[in-house]
Parts: sequence; structure tokens; C-alpha cells
Amino acid sequence: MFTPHQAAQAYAHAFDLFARLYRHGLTPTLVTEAAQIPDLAAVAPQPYDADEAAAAFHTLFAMNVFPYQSVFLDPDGLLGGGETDRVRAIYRRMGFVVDEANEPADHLAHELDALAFLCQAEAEAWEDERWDMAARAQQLQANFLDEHLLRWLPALVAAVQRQEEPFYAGLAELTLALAAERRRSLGPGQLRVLSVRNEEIPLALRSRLNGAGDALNLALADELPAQRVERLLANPQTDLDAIAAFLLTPAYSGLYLSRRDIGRLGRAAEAPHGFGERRQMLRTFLRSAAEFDRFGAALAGLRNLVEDTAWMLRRWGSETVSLSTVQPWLERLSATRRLLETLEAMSPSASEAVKL
Amino acid sequence: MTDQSKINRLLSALLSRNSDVRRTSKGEDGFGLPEFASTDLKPEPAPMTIVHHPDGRMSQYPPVEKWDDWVEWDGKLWPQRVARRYMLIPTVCFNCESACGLLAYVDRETLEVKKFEGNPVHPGSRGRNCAKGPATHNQTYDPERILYPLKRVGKRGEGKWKRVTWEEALSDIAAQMRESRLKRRDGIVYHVGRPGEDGYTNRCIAAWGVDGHNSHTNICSASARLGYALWSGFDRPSPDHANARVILLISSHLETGHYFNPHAQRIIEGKMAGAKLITMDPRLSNTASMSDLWLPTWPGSETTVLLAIANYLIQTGRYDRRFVRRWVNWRETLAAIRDGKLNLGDPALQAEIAGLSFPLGDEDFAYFDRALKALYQEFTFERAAEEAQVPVERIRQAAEWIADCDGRLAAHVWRAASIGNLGGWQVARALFFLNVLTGSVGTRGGTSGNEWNKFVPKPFASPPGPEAWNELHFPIEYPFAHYEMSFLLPHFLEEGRGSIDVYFTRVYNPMWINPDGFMWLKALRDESKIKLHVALTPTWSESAWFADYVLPMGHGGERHDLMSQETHAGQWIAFRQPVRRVAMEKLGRKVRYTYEANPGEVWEENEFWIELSARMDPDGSLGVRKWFESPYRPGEIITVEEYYRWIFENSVPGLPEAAAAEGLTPLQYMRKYGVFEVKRENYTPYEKPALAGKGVEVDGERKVGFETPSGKLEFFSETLYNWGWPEREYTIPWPLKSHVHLDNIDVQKGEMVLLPNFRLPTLIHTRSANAKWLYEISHKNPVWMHPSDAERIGVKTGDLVRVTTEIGYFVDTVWVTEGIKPGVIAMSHHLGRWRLQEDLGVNPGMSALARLEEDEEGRFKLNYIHGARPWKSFDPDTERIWWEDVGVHQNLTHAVHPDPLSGAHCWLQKAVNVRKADPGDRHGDVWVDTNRSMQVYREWLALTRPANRFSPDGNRRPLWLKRPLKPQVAYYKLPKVAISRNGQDGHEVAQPVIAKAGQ
Repeated sequence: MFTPHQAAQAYAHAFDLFARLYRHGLTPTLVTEAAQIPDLAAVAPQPYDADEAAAAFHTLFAMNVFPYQSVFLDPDGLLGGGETDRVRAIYRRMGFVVDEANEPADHLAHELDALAFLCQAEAEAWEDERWDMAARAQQLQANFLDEHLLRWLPALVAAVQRQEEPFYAGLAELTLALAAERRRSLGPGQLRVLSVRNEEIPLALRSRLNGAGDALNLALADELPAQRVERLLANPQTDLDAIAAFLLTPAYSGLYLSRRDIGRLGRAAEAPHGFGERRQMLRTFLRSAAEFDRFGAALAGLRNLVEDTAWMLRRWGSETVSLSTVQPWLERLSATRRLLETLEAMSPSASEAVKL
Repeated sequence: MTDQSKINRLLSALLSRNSDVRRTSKGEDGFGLPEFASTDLKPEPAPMTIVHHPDGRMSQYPPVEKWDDWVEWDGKLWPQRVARRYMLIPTVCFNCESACGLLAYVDRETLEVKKFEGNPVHPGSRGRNCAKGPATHNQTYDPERILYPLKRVGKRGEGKWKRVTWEEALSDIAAQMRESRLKRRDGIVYHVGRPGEDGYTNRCIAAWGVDGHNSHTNICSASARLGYALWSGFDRPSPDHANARVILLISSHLETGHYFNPHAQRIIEGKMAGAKLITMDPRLSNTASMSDLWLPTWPGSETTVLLAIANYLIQTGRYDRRFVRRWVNWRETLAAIRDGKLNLGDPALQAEIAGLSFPLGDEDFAYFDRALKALYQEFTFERAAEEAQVPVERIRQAAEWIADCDGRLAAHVWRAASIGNLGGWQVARALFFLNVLTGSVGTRGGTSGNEWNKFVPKPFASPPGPEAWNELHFPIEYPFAHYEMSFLLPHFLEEGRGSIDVYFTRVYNPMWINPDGFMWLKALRDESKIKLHVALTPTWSESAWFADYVLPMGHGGERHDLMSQETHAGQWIAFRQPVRRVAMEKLGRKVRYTYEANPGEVWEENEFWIELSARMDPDGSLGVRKWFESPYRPGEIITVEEYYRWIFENSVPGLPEAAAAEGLTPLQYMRKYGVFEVKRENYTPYEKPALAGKGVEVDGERKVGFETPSGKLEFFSETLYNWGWPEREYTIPWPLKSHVHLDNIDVQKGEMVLLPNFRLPTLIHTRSANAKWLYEISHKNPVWMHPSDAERIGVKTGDLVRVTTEIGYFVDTVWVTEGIKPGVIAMSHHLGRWRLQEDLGVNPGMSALARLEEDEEGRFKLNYIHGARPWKSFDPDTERIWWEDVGVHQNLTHAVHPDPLSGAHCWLQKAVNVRKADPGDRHGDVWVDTNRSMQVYREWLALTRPANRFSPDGNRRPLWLKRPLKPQVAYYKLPKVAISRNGQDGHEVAQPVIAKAGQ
């Protein structure tokens, strides 16, 4: 229904608008722009209040779900590591200049900007009748989507769905659909001409789970999720802190736990969850659950999260993105399921969880 | 819908959209949010002006050489790099009396003001400001500001206005002034809130030939003024906090008051250098919380506590005998004891002193020492602790520190307890007694008189004092009033004491700020009593609503004024400027009147008064015009520039030289820097040698001394004795029983003391409602209540309470806190603004919409219809008003309490009942019976000792006391037959009725 030129132009606009929404939130300027998109207009807060919107944005992306590739893919779960470097490297190769004054290169807004940049370049190539350039821009898009954005976007979108922010839940799902549709429209198969070679990636050899969870220190980057869980369970040093560290690392557990998620788990299990950073909250939660005989309930809550997330991912795998996109996440989740089941069996209060 | 079609729909929407949606922020009249131009210039590295604050901090400012052309990145657009090009124009903050320096960043192209920051070269504020300074920007771009002169159509208070030209307003008002002046010399009144300038307007009033100055002083500082004046002739303290060893505050100067920002920095400086900070306040203010010692004294007990400390110094001999011997009128005091005018309470000592041979020698000072010991021995720490309900050790500790202060006691009271209590002037007098005893008068680290630390240059020609005496301002009952009995004006009018032909309220909201506001409402509405009411104001106010003309006057960056304040031991002058006008002129554009440069047609008073006065007397026959003729162009009307040019060229020592050194004229110098330091330090000026025939003899030398009848500091006041106040509790520092003394408050019966006059550091009396940042910080004034009281009446934080005063009641929420003394409730005095019309009056986000009802018997009712609401304007922030509670207008329910001596309104209210609100009560409800108002007024009036019965010399007021615009001496004379308000005929020369010392 669109010419390739039109499509490139429209995608450039769309990625640009979405990037701005993830960068600034629903500001008074952006609310008028978002209103032109029926699916966004439908979930936009009514009535609109700029302060409320700013607060919601801050709560979501500055307090709960951190929209960075490294948070989701780096075994550190920290910003600015190997994943960020990989993103910087590909930006350089595609000629996209990123302004990292505010946010590091792997922020979702920057990645969407990079796509907008490539789509714009493609549109201009069509205008100039430079077919070769247009094809190259398309290849770069496909490559960037495969190697970067789509590798972590499903997990982020799943995490956002739980955060009780209808606008951003809608926006996130639409973002996933947009990225997936773009990838689909670029045609199947390997378009890679410019894959970053593996040896350039300072892989996660320095993996240290935020200094905690020593049992995971020997984690190998290419280990399969199931193997990792087995090793964790076999290690006599594995303690609740190591479990917490595992659960908080999406690259291992397939889960993203926000402060709000942990708070909700705490309330459901009737165990204190404390406050502070996520690691602190989850440790407090697991320790106090263990101490006050609520461990079974805590595990049950986590199991529910795993199942909900897996269900969502499977749905997207059949409707929105390719199954291969969600497959790695499903594998991580099933490893986590195995971990939780084992713990449940070991827990004296396992029977109690049945009641929940 | 499938994802694919969903995305297609999204893409279609984006392809067809109009991507250039630009909204303008300007309203129809071109007034709106400021817009700024970008420049291709880049900010260049420049050596910044670094101010090293004495507390160790540093601040950086653009260097003065670059002020005319300063390029910097626009911080709001970060991380985009957009450069702006500004002209930095200094001005002076107008949001309290401190006169701190501001630096306006004026865009060189759009001439809009980007921000106001501190002026680093200002010696008082030293580059720093409180929140109120930068909030000038809010006021400037307030969407509700008044942009054009307005004239009432319809009835007063009906809310119908039409826009008029300045020329129409000027000629109509000038004609009515002329008509009044031809008939009488007390028909024109200028009623000012905080002046924010020194002498300009007073000169105009004098030039009109009327006794027409009215102020807000008697709801502010009258009692402190009288207390200080009786000692020293100066009416205001200037503590040298930075160099003090002990700082004693009966105030909350770290957070509010005169002069909050300049003083706070110096108090902290003093503290960091080791000074002890002692605070007396029944409320745990921010200042109290920062103090080394907090004395939460029961209201009205302060004098007793201070005298207990004085007694300790006296009995232990730890006072500065040399200073007291040299500078206190002890010889006159001993003579008064000899003559039986002062009762020592020790007959043997009294007889011994009576037997001394006068004149006395220096060695006789020992008798004064003994007299002091006899007089004050009853003021023990224990007595003070009991009256104040403060642990005795704390008072003893305070006394110890003060005894060790080594002549460096910085002490201050301005409003607080002195304005709170009946007899509050004795609080200031007892406080200064400690300065006297410790020799901390005008010393480094001590307390000076304000005049020593302030500089008011003379203009080119000064009209003589008026040939009139305004009875409405200085009625016969109050010969010691400091000054005009301003808050009783409506009561006087109600009694038929007179009328006003032309009444200017200038940046003043009398109906809201004064006690007993419904009496003001009645007066302002009555066109037979106030014939023409002209409100000169930058903003809407409850009072302006009842004006005939509402004339918009500029904020801090929109007007000329010259100002100086005693912020520390030096002297400086600061020049407030209309910054856009100055920028335009520097860029080569000609501006005749400031309203051409300000938003809309907002003007400034300086030019307004010149033009008005010229029109009042076009042919010069009234003798007014000549005072407004240019010293540079004889016969022609002066310009505001010429007025200040003359002052800077002729009246400011050192300024012409400093300007010449930079190749500037004095006016250019002041336009550039906005400030000039006249003296770095000015300690103990009274010790300087006197000119021949002047001054006072001390140890065989003629010294400048003090402006009192004796030339010395007056312990015993002969003046009070002679004017009908011969009792010991008046003639020397002594406690007077407050109207809220413990004996007068029965907590068990539900009575409490309402402390209604503490300030919040971020508010500007009644102009905050135009500063969104300030209102976002503080907007409500709940009733502070101690947990024990809350428990007694059964309320918790957030509940409504009904507070019944002597004349009515109000309903407000309660805040339960241990930060207030049991038995006392407190409320900030700023809040509770209201308007009567949804879309006109005080800003909708900062006021409540109210319904006002009155019955035929003088009872008034105010009810809130709804609280603050967001509203649409060019400023998107007005749609983000998130609060509703804007406080309760408590002042309406305050009975007037004129102190019979100082004339101060004693703010503390006896809350005759405080209880949980009734089911029908709503937040903001106010009910008042103005018959009760008049009754309480009369009860207090009866406490006076009027001049017509007690004046010893046939004058209305002791000549030596200060008075704004002192009339010529002949007009001090009492009228031949004055009708006494007590029903007796007056006398040409009244004899004191109480002829003997009554003790």
C-alpha cells in the first residue's frame, strides 16, 4: 500500500516520534502529536495533565523499568558495559552520530533514533534514485533490528505491560509491532553485510553480578540457560543473594523485575520487601519471606510472573514478531521455572504456596 | 485488527500529518511568556567574577565588563546548545525592604527578561537572594497582571472597569487634588505599604503642601520604634551580626523579616566565627531551630526575661560601668529619684540619694549602680522562668553568655513580641537595655542605630514641612504614636472624625492586611468618606477592588527608586531600574516614559508623581509646580533621569570620583552597577567630636552623642514622665502586663493565644499571589497547635477548628505540632487571599472564590465557594495548579488593639474559644460583628492619655520624637479648644492630671 519511498518516510516519522516519547515522555507538545495516532490516542490519559504525565514517565522509566539494551542483555545487568559498546560500534558503522550527553547509546530512544536515521537515509536514497544506497540502508535496518533492538525489545515490552501505565503499555506494544513490521517488510533471510564480528565484542568475561551472588561468578557467556541453572543449584555457595542476583539479571532469568513488581510480590506474599534499589528490595523480600515462613508464597508469586511473561512472549511470537525472536527469552524463562521448582521442592513451606 | 494493519494506519497518520504545529505563547495584546532570540555567537571563556562568601562558599558571576553584551547557553534548552545574547542590567528587589541587588538578563533582541539573578557588587546582599528575588520574573510575566490604567464604572466594588489612557487618569486625579488642596491641607492621603524607596514620595507629599503621609508602620514596627526611640532617638536597631559574640533575636531573622537575606548570611557568618545564637519565640521557627539556645517564652513575658538577664549583669557587676557612666543619663535619673519622680522601692537609698549635693561628680555613679541594684532585684531567674514557662537553666545560660559578650551583643526585635503585646515597646526597651549594659552600642559586633548604617542622599531641593496637622493620622489621643494610626482610619471615619478627598493606596492592600478588615470594607465603600480612591498597584488586590482608579505600577525590574538599608555596619545606596528601558536606551532607542518600555502600559510611580504634580498646579499658583522643575532646564518639568542625575552628581560623597575613574558620569555609573558603597564601616559615631555648640559633654569633651533631649541614652524618660505617664513601669525599662498575659488566658475555659503574625520565608505579604513559584512552595496557613491542646479539644492534623476571637470567628484546618507552645496557636499572616468574581481579581490559582454577605446590623460573613483552581492562560503553568487550599483570611476576625503609647496594633489575639468545628462549618468561613469591632476599639481607646489633657507644653507631640514629614513647629500646637473624646473639654495647655509619681 506504500511505495518503498513512502514507507521509509513514514517509518522515519514513526521511529522519530516514538524516540521522542521515550526520551521526554508525554509532554504537552508530544500529546498533540500522539493524538494523531489512533492507537495512542485511545490509551492517552484523559484528561491530560502535563505534571501527571511527567510524573508517570519518571516513575516508569527512571524508577522502575530502565529502557537500555545493556540492562536486558548484559550479564552484568548494568549500564555502559559490553552491550553499550556493541551499540556504539554499530552506530559508528552506520554513520549515526549519537549524543550521549543525556543517555548512553543503548537507550531505547537512541536505538529508535538510529532506525529513524536509517529510514530517512533510505527515503532520501529513493528520492535521489540511488537504489544501491536504498538497499544498503535497508540491510542496515534489518541488521540493527536483528542484532540489537529486537533481541531485547520483547523483554522490555513484557516488563512495561505490568507497570500499570496504560499509555506506555500501549506505546510499548505498538513499538514492538512497529519494529517487527519493519523487519518483516524488509524481507526474510540474512541481509547482514555488516554484522559486528564476534571478536570485536568485549564479551562478558568480567561478568560480576553487581558484586553479589559469588556463585555466578564463573558464569560463561555462551552457557545455555538450563546449564547455568543446574550449575547454580549444584554450587554449595549458592545463597539467597545469588538467587536474587540471578533473578534480577534478565540475560539469565528472562525476567525483568521492577521496584513495583517486587513491591507487588511482597504484598501478595505478605512479606516485607523494604525499599531502595531493586537488588536491595528483592534480597529483603526473599530473606524476610524465608525468615517468616512465607518463602513458598514468594516462590509462587515469582512463578506466576514467569508464566505470565512466557504467555505474553508466546503470544507475540505467534502474532507480532517471529518465533525466533522470542525463543531465547522463553528458554531463559523455562530455566528460571526449573530453578523456582527446585527451590520450591526444597522449601519446608512448599505446601503453603498451594493455597495461593 | 492485525498488527500489520495497525502499523499501516499509524504510518498513514504520520505521512499525512502537519508536522509544523507551532503554538504562540502571546496573548491578544502581545503580552505573554517571554521569547528569546538565538545568536550565532558562542559563549567565550571569560574570567568570572568570584565572590568569596565569608562562610567559605564561592559564587561566580559574569564579569562587569561583559554585562553589556553577555552570551551564554540557554540552560533550559540543554542538551541543545542554543546561545543567547543578553544585556545584564542591575536593579533592586522590590519584594521586601531589604533592597537586595538583582541582575536582570535582558535579551538584546527581544528585550524580554530571561531571569533575575544576584548582583555580586551589592554590599548588602553580596550576590545572594532569597526565593522572592528570582520570583520577580513570575510577577513580570504574570498572566493576570494589570496592564492598563482602569477606571471604575458602576458602583464601587461592583467589579466593572474600563480602560483609560494615562492622560485621562492624570488630569482627572490632578484636578481633584487641586480642588482639595485649595480647600484644605489634609485632604490628600498617600497610604503606603512597604515604601521600597527613600524619600522620593515624601518629598512629593511635602511639595503638595499637605500633611498626607500614611503608612503601615503601626501594624508592623511601631512598638519597637518607640522602645528604641526612648533610649536613643533612633527608632530602629542595626545589629552587626557578623562580628558579634552573642546574637539575641526576638524574631525569626534567619528566615524572614527585616532584613532576612542580608541578615541571615551575617548571622550564620557570626555563628561560624563562634557567636552564640539565642532566640526567643513561642514558636519553633527555622531560626529557633538553628539557635544555640531557644527560649520559648509565653507571649508577653519577654520583658521580664530580659530584665532578669539585666538584673544578673547588674547584681554581679558584670556590666560595662565605663560605658554606662559615660553614655547613660544617670545624673538625670538620680535627680528624678531625688525629686520623687522615680520610686526605687528602697526608702533608705532614696533618702540617701535625695541628700546628695547636685550637680553630681563621676564618683556619684556608685549611687546609680546601687539604684539599679535596688530597682531590678526582684527580677530573678526564677520569676522570669515562671512567667515565661521556660526552664530556668536556659535563662541562666543566656545571661552567662551575654555577660561574656565583651561589647559584642547583636540584638534585634522589630515586630514579633514588640508588635504582639500591649506594652510591647518595653520589650524593645528592655532588649536595648542589654546593649547598654554590655556597652554593645554601635560597636563592632554590637547593635547600631539604623541611621548610622543607612545613607539617604538629599535631592536637588526639599520642600518645607507641611503647614498642617492631620488629625486622622495623628489624633490627639496618641502623642507617642510611631507613627500614623493607620489601622484605625476606618474606625475614625466611622466615628465621623473626618473625610479624605483623594486617597492613594500604593502597593498596599489595607483591607486585607489590617486587622478588622470589614471595617475597611465599610470605609472603602463609602464615597462620602473616601471621595476618590486611587490604587497604585502592580496586581489585583482585595482593596483595589474598591478603588475608583486602578493604576498599574511596575515590579522590581520596571521602576526607578533609590534605596538604602542598614544591612550591616556600612552604608550603601542601591538604584532600582526599569531594566527594559535601560537596555533600550543603551541600544540607542529613545524612551520618554517608562511605560513605553514596560509590559502593556505599566508605569512607575516616580514619573507618575512628577506628571501628576505638574498637572495639579499647571500655572504654579499653588506653589507645587516649582518643586518639579528641572534643576538643569529652568522652568521646565523635570525628568526622572534628571532627578537622580542631580543626586548622584551632588549628594553622594565619593560617587562622582568613582565614576570619573571609570570615565563615566555618576548616573552612568549607577546605571551600570546599580549600587554604590558609601562607607565600608561606621562604628560608634556618637563618640565623634561634635561641631561647636552641638552635641553633649562626656568626660570633658564635646561628643556627637544621641538625638535625645539629654544627648545621652535615656534610662529614665523625662518625656514620658512629663506627658502623663509618670509610673515606674513607663519611665524606665519595666514589664507592662500584656493583654495576653497568663492571667488573662484561661486555657481550661477554651481560651488560647492566637499568634497570627509570623511570616514564611518565601512569601511577599500580599504580592505573592502573582508569583507562581512562591505559591507552589507555600500556599496554606493551617493553625499550629500543640498535641496537648489538640488532645484537649479532640482534633488531629487536618481537622477543621473554629477559632473565635473577640469580634467573630474563622474556620481553618489544624496542624498538630510540638513546634508551638501549649496554650498558643499560630498562623502565618500571609495567606487566605480571596476574590469575589471568578474571572477578575486575585489570581484564580492563588485565591479562593468567595461569597460576601452582610446584614443590616453590621455583621459580615465570608464563605469560600471553592478554593484555588487551575486556569487557562498563555502560561501553561497556570493549568498545573495542584493545590486547592489557599489559607484562611484570619485578619478579618482580629479586633484592633491600639497600644495607648506606641499606637501599635498589638497583633496577638485572645482566642476566646478554640474548638473542633461545628458540622456546618466549612474551611475558610469567616464571620464578624463590626459592632463588636467598634466596642473593642473603644475599650482600647480608653487606655490612652490624650495630649489635650496631658501635654506639658501645649503641643500635640513631643517635638524631639521622629515623625514622617514633620509639620512646621507652629502646627504642633494643640487647637485652642479640642473636644476630648472622653467627653471633657480640652485645655489650651493641659496640666498633667497625675502630678505626682504615683508609686
